[in-house]
Amino acid sequence: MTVTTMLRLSAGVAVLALALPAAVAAQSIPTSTDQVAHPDGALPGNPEIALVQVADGFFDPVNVTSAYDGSGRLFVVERVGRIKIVNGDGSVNDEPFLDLTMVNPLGNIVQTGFVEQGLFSVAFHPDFAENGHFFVHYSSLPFNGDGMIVRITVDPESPDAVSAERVNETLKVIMRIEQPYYNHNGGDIMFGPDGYLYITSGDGGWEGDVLQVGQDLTTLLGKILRIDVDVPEDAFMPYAIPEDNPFRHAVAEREMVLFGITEEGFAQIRPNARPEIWHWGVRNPYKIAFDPETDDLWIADVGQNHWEMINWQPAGVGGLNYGWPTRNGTQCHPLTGPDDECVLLGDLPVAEYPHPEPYPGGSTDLPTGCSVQGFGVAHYGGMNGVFLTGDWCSGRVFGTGWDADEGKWVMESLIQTDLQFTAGGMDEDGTILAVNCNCFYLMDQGPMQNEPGALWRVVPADEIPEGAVVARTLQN
Amino acid sequence: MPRAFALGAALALPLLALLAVPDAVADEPLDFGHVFDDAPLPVTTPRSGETFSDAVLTFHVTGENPYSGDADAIAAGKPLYDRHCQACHMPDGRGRMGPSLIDDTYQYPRSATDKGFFEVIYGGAAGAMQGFGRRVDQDDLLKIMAYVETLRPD
Repeated sequence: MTVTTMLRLSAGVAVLALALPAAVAAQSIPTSTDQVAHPDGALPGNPEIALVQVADGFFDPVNVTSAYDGSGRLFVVERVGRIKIVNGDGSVNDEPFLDLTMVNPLGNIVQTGFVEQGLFSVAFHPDFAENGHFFVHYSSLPFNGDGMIVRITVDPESPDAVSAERVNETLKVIMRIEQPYYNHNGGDIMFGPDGYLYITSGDGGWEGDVLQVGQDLTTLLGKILRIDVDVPEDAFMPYAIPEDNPFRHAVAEREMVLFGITEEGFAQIRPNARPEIWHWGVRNPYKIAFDPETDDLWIADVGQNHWEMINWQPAGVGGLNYGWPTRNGTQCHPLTGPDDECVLLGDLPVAEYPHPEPYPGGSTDLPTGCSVQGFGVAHYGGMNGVFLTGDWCSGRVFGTGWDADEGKWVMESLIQTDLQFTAGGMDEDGTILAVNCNCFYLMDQGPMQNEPGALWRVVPADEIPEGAVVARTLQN
Repeated sequence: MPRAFALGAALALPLLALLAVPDAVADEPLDFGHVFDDAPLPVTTPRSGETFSDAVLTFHVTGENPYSGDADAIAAGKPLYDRHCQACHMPDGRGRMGPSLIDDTYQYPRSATDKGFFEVIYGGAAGAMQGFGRRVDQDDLLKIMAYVETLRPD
């Protein structure tokens, strides 16, 4: 292209710009705090939702997913160490799909001593229908609460119940994440559209990231991890590092070269980094969700004392730093007041909502919560790529999405229920699911002592089936 | 209890004594409803193993906590509060995961009254605020309420 051509092109673009209204911003990660949504917005399409009960009677249900094998089965994770099958007609199989409380002669292999511990999640291999592999993530009793991610293989002769013998025959440990404290385990696992296994890892616990792991690239804590589990059975490592993980090449051993490497080049050398890292600077991401249409990744990251965060990752983009513990969402950490100023390191969330106390001694008129739990990304009922989340404390269901007409992120509090949400998921048709427990941070409770929880389906408010049990919602 | 309400209650009690008490004592229990939708709460049905105390039976009719200001009940209420409430509302009631119990703002306006406060505790409200009527005797709930009153500034 000649200089003249470039000038003509520039002039043409300038004229075009003058003739059109101001360009609407493209969907992107916020670069300033005023672009981060708060729950005072209205989602495009004006969605109105209700929660309809699918099944109940689950002991501390903490997750739900599908096998995506065409069976229509839903798999509800019970904290104690069991997975229950819910069939397409809503019936629940008496016999668990998996029961980790019975596989060891010494008892349960799952540590459930604290309410944040237990069996966290299950993910089915993308080729599950052929290979029968599924993966679970739990806090291990023998390993004093360490996060254990293992692969188990279903016997095709017994597709709805994996026997203790089968567990012991096929169990393959994929990863063990050392957990220094009994809280902030993260715990989710999901296969991405790229076929890799994504693992959410909390900051290891206590509070305030006392170990300062969020920005420490040498630990798996405080990270979103991504690994390739499709390795030969006799491989030395049970997983491989995907080629485009952000530190895949930065960790490689190399001969030292002095004088002659650019400063940018030094930044590509991170010998101590863990190559499993996909994103870092997260606090306690209980739950992630992929958009089934765009492949974008959403992360519900539980915040510290004052704010809860919704992070969004465009499809395939790794290496994002969500800032913890240098900040919590758009707020400084530690937060002392409403006018604190600090450098906001890394990549901002797209939305955040406050606790009842948005800063020490403060109050707010915004809808509040205390612990964000991801459900999934909805493409129905007027919702076009809306990430639905529920709050463990306030029972609210928040929707977060991009308003293409306005060119901005929007968060809306859709309903407030009496449910204590723990997680959600998606069925094979893309309907968003949620589970609730009745579990407390109290010493005398246990995974089988609390009142049972339930599985719910998010439906448009004008499509509630006749006779359905609908979650109680606050009537204004 | 906010000062305004405390004053209101103090004024109302003598009036009740003059006008309404005979009927109130003989009356049927009040209707108790869930704070979300006023769906009836089965407060007159004891949970398994529960025997209603005189205080509970009186409360069902009057909607006023007989244990308010009662030193013994307040002392009994503290360990119950510490066991069931402080994880979310903090030992001093100023709130954290759950709202403050000691300031003068109310998430649900009805909880400024004894009856409304009981309806929230017994029947539950949003999310983690479960219905404690399912796991705690009502007499103990009234003692917890009496203790919470003492956490509020004069």
